[in-house]
Amino acid sequence: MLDFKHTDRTRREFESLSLDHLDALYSAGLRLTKNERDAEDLVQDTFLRAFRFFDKFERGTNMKAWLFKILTNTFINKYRRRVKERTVVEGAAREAGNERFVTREPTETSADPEQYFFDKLLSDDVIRSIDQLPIDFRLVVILADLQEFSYKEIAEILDCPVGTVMSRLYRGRKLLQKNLLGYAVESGVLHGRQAMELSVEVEVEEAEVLELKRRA
Amino acid sequence: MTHECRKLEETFLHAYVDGEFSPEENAEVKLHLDECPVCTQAVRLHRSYKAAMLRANAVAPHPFYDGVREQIAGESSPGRWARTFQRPSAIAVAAACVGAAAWFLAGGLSRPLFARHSLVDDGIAIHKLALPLDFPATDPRSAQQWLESKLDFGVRLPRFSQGPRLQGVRLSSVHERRAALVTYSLPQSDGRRVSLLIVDDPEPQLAGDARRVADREVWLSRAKGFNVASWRNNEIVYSLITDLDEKDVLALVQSAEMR
Repeated sequence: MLDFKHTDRTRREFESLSLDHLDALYSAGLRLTKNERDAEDLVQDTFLRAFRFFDKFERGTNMKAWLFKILTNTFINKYRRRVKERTVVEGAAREAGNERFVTREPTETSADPEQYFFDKLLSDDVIRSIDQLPIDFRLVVILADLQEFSYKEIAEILDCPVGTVMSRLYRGRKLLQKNLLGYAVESGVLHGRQAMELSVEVEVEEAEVLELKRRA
Repeated sequence: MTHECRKLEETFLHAYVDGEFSPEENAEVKLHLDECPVCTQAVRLHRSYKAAMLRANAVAPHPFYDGVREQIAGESSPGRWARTFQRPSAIAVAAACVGAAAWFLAGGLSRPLFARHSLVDDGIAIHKLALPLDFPATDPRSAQQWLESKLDFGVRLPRFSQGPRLQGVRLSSVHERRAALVTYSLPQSDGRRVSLLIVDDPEPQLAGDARRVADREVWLSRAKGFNVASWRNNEIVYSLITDLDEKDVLALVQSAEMR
């Protein structure tokens, strides 16, 4: 009953299809769990589940999307609660950061403040901004902007309509860019008034964000 | 700066940068961009945002890559077996199987596959024990109804036009799978016992020599003084176990109707 040759061949096929996506899964896992240890656990869980259900994978279809569906489901079912406790504390620290940004004195202005804004950003600030997003926004932003999945693929991964993906992505990006402005000022990439000018552009419906935060 | 162009929405431009449009649609957007500095600026901003996001991607540490590979290698095979072998009791069974396989290989490779024969061997062992019946019955219909309420797979008791008389059924297990043992007696052979082992066995290959009996593929094998005839019906394996000789076993199989 145990056909070891078959097992070996299946494993090799699985490895050849899946291991190329390890970095992508780890990178996404890191932004979902916000720490390396949980990210490694999550990705390891994902690979094990994927291997166990490999007979369910339709050959020739999108392996990366299939793996990400398992990753997000595993995260939502298993890790979300664990990570949430830490988020509350980090969220409070973040509020303090926002206040600093608002009360800071503008020193200098430039004719076209946004031209080099995103180019100059520090990856650490980008990461902090992603981590600040409520989970529903964070998921779509990770899938679209870190992993470059299409709207349709994201809809399939998250099992929701494409319209929902698009609205969450738009609002998630605006919220993220707002966070980024704050960090850019903190780290000296941007001065106060430049940030004020830019911030009009990244307006977000606060009520909606609060509602999502409550649900998360 | 807010998006002031009345012709194209900002979400539309995002979708354009995100690569959601067809080549024709892209060409139309480009035509508009050539004459609209507001939209051009929005597109440039979104492109630089996306580039910044991509730079924030992390790379898995190298030891982790090896760890994942090792973990996959530690798993047996995808699907049923992988799940089965997570249970400690199953690990003990697996260890016993490995031991038995080693013994079998040492004894030579006259038989093609150890594991297949264990179904035959298990069937014979269960038959020899003659354990008490869970549900004594002489009527196949009531025995079938009782089994249907106890088993997680569909089962069909054969009707023998002559010969074996139903005594009853007993629930059993083979390789951690539920099985039913149906017991018959043979009046014309001094009441000798015949057992029919019914197990949901998804393995494709049955053990023994293939024969064709009454439009059925039947596999015959012999061990420990017993003849075992196995056939498959709707993915379920039926094995008739007796100490009758081969000719009489095949006659029994021939008279069994699987309706």
